[in-house]
Amino acid sequence: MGIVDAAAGPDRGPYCSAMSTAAGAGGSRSASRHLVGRDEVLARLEALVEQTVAGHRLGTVLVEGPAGIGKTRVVTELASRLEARGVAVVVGHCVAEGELLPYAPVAELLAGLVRREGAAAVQRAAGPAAAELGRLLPALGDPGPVELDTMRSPRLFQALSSLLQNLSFEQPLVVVVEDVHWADTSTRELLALLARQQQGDLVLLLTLRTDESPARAGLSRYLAELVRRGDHRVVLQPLSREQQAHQISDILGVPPHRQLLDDVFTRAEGNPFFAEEVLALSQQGDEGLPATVRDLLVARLEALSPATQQVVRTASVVGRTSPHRLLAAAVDLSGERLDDALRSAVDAHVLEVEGDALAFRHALLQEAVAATLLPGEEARTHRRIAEALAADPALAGPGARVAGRLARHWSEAGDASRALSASLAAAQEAAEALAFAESLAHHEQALRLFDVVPDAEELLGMPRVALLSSAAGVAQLAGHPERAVELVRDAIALVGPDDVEQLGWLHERLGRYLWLSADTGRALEAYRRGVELVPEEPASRRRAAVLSGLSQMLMLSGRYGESEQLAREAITVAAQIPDGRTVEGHARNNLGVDLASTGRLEEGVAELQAARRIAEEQFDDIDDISRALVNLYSVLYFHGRLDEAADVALENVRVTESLGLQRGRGVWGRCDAAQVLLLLARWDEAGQLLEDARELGRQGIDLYRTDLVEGQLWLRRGDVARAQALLESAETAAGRLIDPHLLSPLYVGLVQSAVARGDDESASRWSEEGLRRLQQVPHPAHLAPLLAAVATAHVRAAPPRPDAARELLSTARAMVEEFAVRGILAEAEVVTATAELSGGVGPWRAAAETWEHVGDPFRAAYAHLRLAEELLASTEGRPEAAEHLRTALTTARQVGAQGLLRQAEDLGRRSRLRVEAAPDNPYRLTSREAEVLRLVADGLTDRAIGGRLFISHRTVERHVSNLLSKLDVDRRSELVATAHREGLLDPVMGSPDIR
Amino acid sequence: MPLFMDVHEKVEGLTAEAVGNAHKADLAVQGAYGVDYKQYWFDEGTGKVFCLVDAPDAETASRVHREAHGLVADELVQVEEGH
Repeated sequence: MGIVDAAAGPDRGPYCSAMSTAAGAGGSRSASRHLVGRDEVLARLEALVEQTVAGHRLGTVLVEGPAGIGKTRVVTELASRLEARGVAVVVGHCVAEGELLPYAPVAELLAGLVRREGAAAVQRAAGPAAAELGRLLPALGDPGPVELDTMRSPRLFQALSSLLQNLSFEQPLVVVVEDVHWADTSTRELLALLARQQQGDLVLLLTLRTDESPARAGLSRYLAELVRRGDHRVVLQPLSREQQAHQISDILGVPPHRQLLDDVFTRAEGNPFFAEEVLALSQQGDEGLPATVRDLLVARLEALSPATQQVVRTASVVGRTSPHRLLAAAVDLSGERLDDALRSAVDAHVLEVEGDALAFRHALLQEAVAATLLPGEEARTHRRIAEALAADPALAGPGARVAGRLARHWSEAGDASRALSASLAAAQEAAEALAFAESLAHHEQALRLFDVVPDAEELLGMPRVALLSSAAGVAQLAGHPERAVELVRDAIALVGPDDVEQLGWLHERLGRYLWLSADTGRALEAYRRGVELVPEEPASRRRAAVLSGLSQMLMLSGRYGESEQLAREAITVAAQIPDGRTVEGHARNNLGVDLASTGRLEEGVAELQAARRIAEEQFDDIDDISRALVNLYSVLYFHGRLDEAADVALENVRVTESLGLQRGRGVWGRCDAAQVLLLLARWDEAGQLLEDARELGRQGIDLYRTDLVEGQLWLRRGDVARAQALLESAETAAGRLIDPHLLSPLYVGLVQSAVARGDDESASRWSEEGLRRLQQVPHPAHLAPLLAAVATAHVRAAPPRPDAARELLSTARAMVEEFAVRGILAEAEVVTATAELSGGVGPWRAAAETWEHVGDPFRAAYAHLRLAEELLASTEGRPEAAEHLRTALTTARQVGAQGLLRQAEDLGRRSRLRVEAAPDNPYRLTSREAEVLRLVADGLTDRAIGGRLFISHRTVERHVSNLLSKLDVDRRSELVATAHREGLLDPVMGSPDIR
Repeated sequence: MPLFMDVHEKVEGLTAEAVGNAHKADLAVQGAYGVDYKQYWFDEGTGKVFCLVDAPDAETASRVHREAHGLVADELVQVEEGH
């Protein structure tokens, strides 16, 4: 049970004969005392641990190699060296039957920490959510029942995360997870979360068997994701002949003679475990050594007495480790005969004593033994173990969960009825431990057995519909919404038409799962059916939920008026019921977007803030916290309040991280942030966020969004071919989308990239396609930008089609002018397209000013460039043209817009304007930062600066903190002094200054 | 009794402790054969070992090695003690 035990003093138990501790010649040892041939690897690992701990952020180290190469031995040796240097080490093992025993390694880690620190200290360090750990280790508290339609697993993560972080600040901590190739899905996900975001003086050290066959699906991709840049993989190589000679020399006590060494090295090929086994066999007196490792291991077992063999076989069916009492109950032997059998298994180094249990010395031994069982014998053994466990669950060990084991043993024993009951119990047990993937596996097994077992319904006390809907809930929580859709559809098919209550509820679920599968259209239909079915009276949570669900789908489809009405209805119903608060929050989330999108921005923002507060206070459907932030971002964004939108988007990234929601929400939040940073000309940050987003997820709607935003980024950077490829890939993925706010930027981007390439034909094709898909929901925020882009395409076409452009623009202008809020992002697009159409100093000046006001330096620079061009038409315009050209050059260079830079330089040459970019900006301050710096120098507070620039004081704080780091100073006063000294406050000709 | 010096060109896995154990094994076995392994020299780096042994003949000296640990010398030379 790990190194913690070993450090506390090994408990050898009653089966340890004097032989196995004797020293000296005679081959009484099974393994070498000294670890041979691993000095370099150990030194490297020690250095990695030291270096990672110094970084105060969790680092991952993967130690890998084939079975028997010595991973555990290396890690054990490393642990004792680290312990000697004041680093704590805890260990958890994954087991081959992991999918049935969720979180087994994590529970073992917790047990190790409790032994080390005491339960009270562990609870304290785990913080407010400590009781969640009781799901894995009952000694740590009672977390209460799990409601399947909520999403609480992040609390478990939070508890574990605080625990590790707090302990690691007292003493550096290495968390070892052995045999990660066998990790259950829940453990895998927890490890992935830890690896991604855990802070603290922590190292996550994983061991991986590389010859595991067949490899678990997705393992290599998972590991690639887990062990990322800055982490390390350490591969254990086979021992050289010389090293193997030293190993044998150490085991035997004398150097091996040549023939022995030849024999061992030829068979073991440098594998230390195999060498040990060859030696053990040769000492059992076997003369002819078998050729293969499997034969070798089997030969070792055949040399044991029949009684010992029976015990060892039974143990192999239980698993790598068998509690002594369970083994005693499942074999025919008892008393002294059992003790003798066990003692000889221990003396032969097949089993080892671990506290109250017996463990195979190596997993390979267990596998070799299990493979020798005949089918009938195997089923019989499973049955005996199942019977023993069913009669006395405590045999599995104190606090162990038995339902999963029982399900496995009954099923392998071929007892369908008992397996069915046990599978259901195991499904519930796993769900209580928040191990949803495993719970789903048990549910699926129960559903299969349900058809086979007669009277299954009476046996379970549960109809098939209930089993299906429970399975669907778990499938969704396990991240398989498509499977949830199938399951709930099966359930609907079983319900009679009169049971409207049940049908209504199932349609509500169906709607939710469909939405999570990115099928907004069908989700809308499902919710609509749900609203028809669930009775209005009496007011119920279900009624409120179907109303709010339908409202959400209508909102996402851009039908804000209908959505608003339903959201208000849902809020009214929710207010009449005691548990309506969560649904109320959900409905206010929809309402907020509806209001903001129909000209009531401030009211909408207030509703979204209320939705967020409710979600945080209920902490029930925590997904809604992030949803409120996403929606808030979205309405701020299209209203052109970019700084605030950026703040909200970045906050959402942090919140999803801290709630452990990044698998579900992390990509979206990062894309939101990248999208707005793109406009703010913070391209490097945007690029980094997109890179992170790609590492997090590559499926469905997330992939679509990542391609889209990255395409927009490359379009601005001037790499049109790359942009086009990304946008076209997004277009392919957008087939089922009806959401206007997602379709609009796609087609705008595609049209712009075609125009940039001078490809009229593609521009027309994308224009038509985009207009066709967006015109069904003509909202100015979404449709007007596309109309502007299409109009620009007409203007740039050869020959130009000004009439078509004029017509589109007048529609677009009418739309934005009718909209209750002025200054939305779409308006700036219309102003620019109008300038494209008419040309002239006035329109381009208006465009430049509009973009300056919005805070989009790239678009502003382009407008400045076109304005310079117009001004050059007259001689008196030349001085002013030079100014605008300088602005364009400076910005293009600053933000790295290659295409724009080329155009600006080209204009400079053609017009013979001798213009250099503004005096270098060595600190790479953005124009907004330069503004803030001036106001700081004027002595204004952050709040006052915010008031002056119409941005929140938190945004100002962020700009100031960026300034501090860019100017490399610690305090505000130094900031001003440095700014004066470096001339950053001097007026710069042609630089955007909208004070 | 004649005196022999044997040479083990390369003992793989040689350590001071292991060669010491091997020598002890010789001492445990040699009585029955009237052999006396008196002293040995070794070099851990190359694995080279020299043993000085009093034995009735070369064959008997080797036999003790074979029985004790199996490490038979590559070369065995009868020598005279110099003064």
